[in-house]
Amino acid sequence: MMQSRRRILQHAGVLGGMAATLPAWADAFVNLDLPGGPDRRELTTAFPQKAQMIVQRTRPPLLETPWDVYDRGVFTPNDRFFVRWHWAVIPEAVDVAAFKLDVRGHVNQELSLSLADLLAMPRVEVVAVCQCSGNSRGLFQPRVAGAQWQNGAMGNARWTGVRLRDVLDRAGVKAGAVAVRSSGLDDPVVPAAPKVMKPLDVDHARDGEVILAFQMNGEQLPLLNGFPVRLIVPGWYGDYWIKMLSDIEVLNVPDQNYFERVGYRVPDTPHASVKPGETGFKTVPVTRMVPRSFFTNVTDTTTVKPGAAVPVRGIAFGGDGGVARVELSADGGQTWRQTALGRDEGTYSFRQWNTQIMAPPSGSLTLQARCTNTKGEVQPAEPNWNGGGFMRNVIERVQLTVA
Amino acid sequence: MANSANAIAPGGIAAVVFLLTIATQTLWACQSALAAEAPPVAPAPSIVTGGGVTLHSVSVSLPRSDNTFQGGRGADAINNDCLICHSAGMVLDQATLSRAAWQAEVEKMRDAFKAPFAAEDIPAIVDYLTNLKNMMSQSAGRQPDAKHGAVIVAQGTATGAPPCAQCHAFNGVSDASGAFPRLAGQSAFYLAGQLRDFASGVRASAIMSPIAKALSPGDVADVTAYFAGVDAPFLPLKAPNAALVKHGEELAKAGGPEKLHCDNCHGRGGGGAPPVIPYLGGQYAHYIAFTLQMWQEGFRKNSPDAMAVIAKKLDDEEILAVAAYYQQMSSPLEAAAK
Repeated sequence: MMQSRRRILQHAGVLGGMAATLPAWADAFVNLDLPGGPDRRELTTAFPQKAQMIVQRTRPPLLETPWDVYDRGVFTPNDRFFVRWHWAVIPEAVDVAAFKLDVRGHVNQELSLSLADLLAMPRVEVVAVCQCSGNSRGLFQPRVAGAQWQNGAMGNARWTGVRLRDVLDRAGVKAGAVAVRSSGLDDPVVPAAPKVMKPLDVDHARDGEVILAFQMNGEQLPLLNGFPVRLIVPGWYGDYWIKMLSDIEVLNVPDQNYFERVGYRVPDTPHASVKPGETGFKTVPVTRMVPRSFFTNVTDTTTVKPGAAVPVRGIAFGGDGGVARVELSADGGQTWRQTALGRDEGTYSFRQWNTQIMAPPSGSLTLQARCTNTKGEVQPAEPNWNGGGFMRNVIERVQLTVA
Repeated sequence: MANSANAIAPGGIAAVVFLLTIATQTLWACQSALAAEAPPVAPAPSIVTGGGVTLHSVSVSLPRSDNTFQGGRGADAINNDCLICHSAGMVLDQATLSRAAWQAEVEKMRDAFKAPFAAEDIPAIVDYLTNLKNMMSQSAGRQPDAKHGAVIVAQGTATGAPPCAQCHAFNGVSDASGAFPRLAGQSAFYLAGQLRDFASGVRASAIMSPIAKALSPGDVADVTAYFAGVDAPFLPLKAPNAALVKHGEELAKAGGPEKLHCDNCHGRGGGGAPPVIPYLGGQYAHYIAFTLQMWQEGFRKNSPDAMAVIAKKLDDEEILAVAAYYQQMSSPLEAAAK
C-alpha cells in the first residue's frame, strides 16, 4: 500500500511540469474554458474520501467539483464536494476520542469540549451552500492572481450539528464581547505565517443560525471538508466556514488577524466592483453571498435540433436570502420568463429550476438565467471586477448550436 | 494509488500497524524506545457515539505532487523557495500576469506569509514567473534514464566518478555506520540539487565535490532517478537512547522555545515533502547530526535562510536528539501513516 504511493511519486516526477503525458495519478483531463487559458486541469481520484475531482493544486489541496455533478440534484455528494485549504500542515489523522474544541477568551468559563459533549447537546440541521469567495475567479477579465476556479468551488449539503449560540452560552459570553473568532487544526508550514482564522460579530455568532456541524448529508465529514467539526455560516462565503474547528475565542476588541484585516477583502462598492487599476477605495471583508444561477444540462457545446422543444434546467441560490425566482431570457436580456422552481430545501440551499424553450429554425440559441433572491437582490448583467477575484455573480449565458 | 490514498483506517488500527512494524524492525536490537513505552495491547479503534450519531476516527494519506518548475538553473530559486509550502500546480495554472502583479504576489508570500527566502531571491523568482510559459517549455526533452543511472551506481563513469555503490550501496541504503546518507527513495529533484551544489561548492565536501564534478547533467538526472525509485529496506540498527528519542520527538513535533517544528517542513515523522524537502525518517542519526553541524558551521549553504538559521538554534544535545528520533522512524512512509 505504501509502496504504491512512492511509485506514483516517481512517475509524477518524471512526467511532471507541463508534460503532455498523463501523470500516473491523473485519470483524465478537463478543459475549464477560462478566457486566455491555461484551462486544462487533471481529474483525479487520488484524494482520500473523494471520488473524481478537478485538481487545482495538490498541496495544500484545492479540488474543484466537476460540473456534471450539479445537474444531478441540489445536494452535492460528500465525495464530490470542493476542497480548499490555505496551509499545508493538515492533520492526516484525527482521533475522535482525543479531539477537543476549546472555547476561551472573554467568557465566564473556558471550555474544552469533546465530541461526546457536542453530540449530547441539542441538535439542529440546516441545508446551506458553501461557496469559496473566489469561486469563478478564472473567469475574471482582466485575469487576476489566485486559485483559477471555474464555477465548481461551491457545494450544497445538509449540515447537522449544534448551535454556536448554545456553545457560547455554555461558556457564558461576558459583557463587552465584540467578536467570536474561529480557527482549526491546520497550520502554516512556517510558524511565523498567519494562522487561518475568521471572526463573526458576537450578535451574528449568537443568532442561532451559525452551527458547528459534525455531519454532512447524514455522514461524518470527509477529512478534507473539515472533519470532525466545521463551522457553518449560512449565507456567508466559505472563508468563514472554518474546517477542523478546534478553537473558538471570544474577543472584546475587533479582530486584527491577517485574514480579516488584509486578506479576503473587497471594495466597498456596488457588487464589490472597481475598474482595473483603480485605487483609493475603501475595502471591507468579503462576507455575505450574493444570488447566482447556473445552467446544468446545457453548455456552449450543446447542439439542438431546429424547432425542437429543449428542456433547460439548472441550479440557483439566493446568497444570504432565499431564491424568489429564476428567469430565463432567449433574446439577450430584453424579455425574461419565469422558470419552475424545484423543491425548497431551505433559504440557504441550492434550488433547482427548469423550463422548456423552442429552438429556432437555424443558427444558435443564446440563453441567460437570472436569479432574484427573497430580499429583492438580482444578479447583475455586467460582470463585477476586483483584484482579488471575489464575489462573481454575473448573469450566466450559454450559446447552443442549432443544427 | 487510489487504493493507497483512499485507505481510511481508524486511527487505532493505523497505530497497531505502526507498532507492529516497529516491533518487527527492532527484534534484532531487543526493543526500541517506542515499543518499550507502548502499552502491550493496542487500544480499540476509537469511536464516539451520542444521540444516534457515531463518529469514527480517521487516518488518511494525502497525495503529493513532485512537479517542479522547469528551466534548469533559472528555476532554482522558485523551486527551492516556493515548493516548501505549496506544490507548483496552482502557479502553473495562472493566467499571463504582468511583472508588477507577480512582484506583488511574491512580496506577499515573503512579507505577509513569511516564506523563508532571502529578499535577493525575489528578482529571480519574479523573472521566472513573468516568463512562466517560456521557462516551462524549456523542460528538457530528454527523460531521465534510471537504468543508465543504475549502471553508473554499480560501475562509475568513464569520466572518473567512482561507483556510488562503494559508499551508498547499490540499493542506496549505505551502511549502518551512518557516515553516508541513505539515498533510497529520496526525491530525485533534491538529490540532483545536492549533486549540483557539491559540484559548485555551495555544499562543501571533499569526497562528493570531485565526484559530482565528474558527472554530466544527464548522469545526474539518471543516477538520481535511479535512487529515487529504489524501495529498499531499512537496516536493523542498535536501540537508541529512549530519553534522547523522546526529546527529539518533542523538538520535531512541537519545536523548542522558538518553535522549530522539523515536521512542519519535513513531514509527519520526517516523511519528507518531495520534491524539495528530503525525508528524515529512517535516515542515519550520525548523518543527520553531521549535516546539521555543517549547516551551523557554514559548510552547507544551499538553503541559507532556512536550515542554517534553524541549525544555529540547536545545541549539541538537541542535534543528537532530533537525529536519534528520526533514525528510529524506520520507514518514512509508515511514519506518515501513523
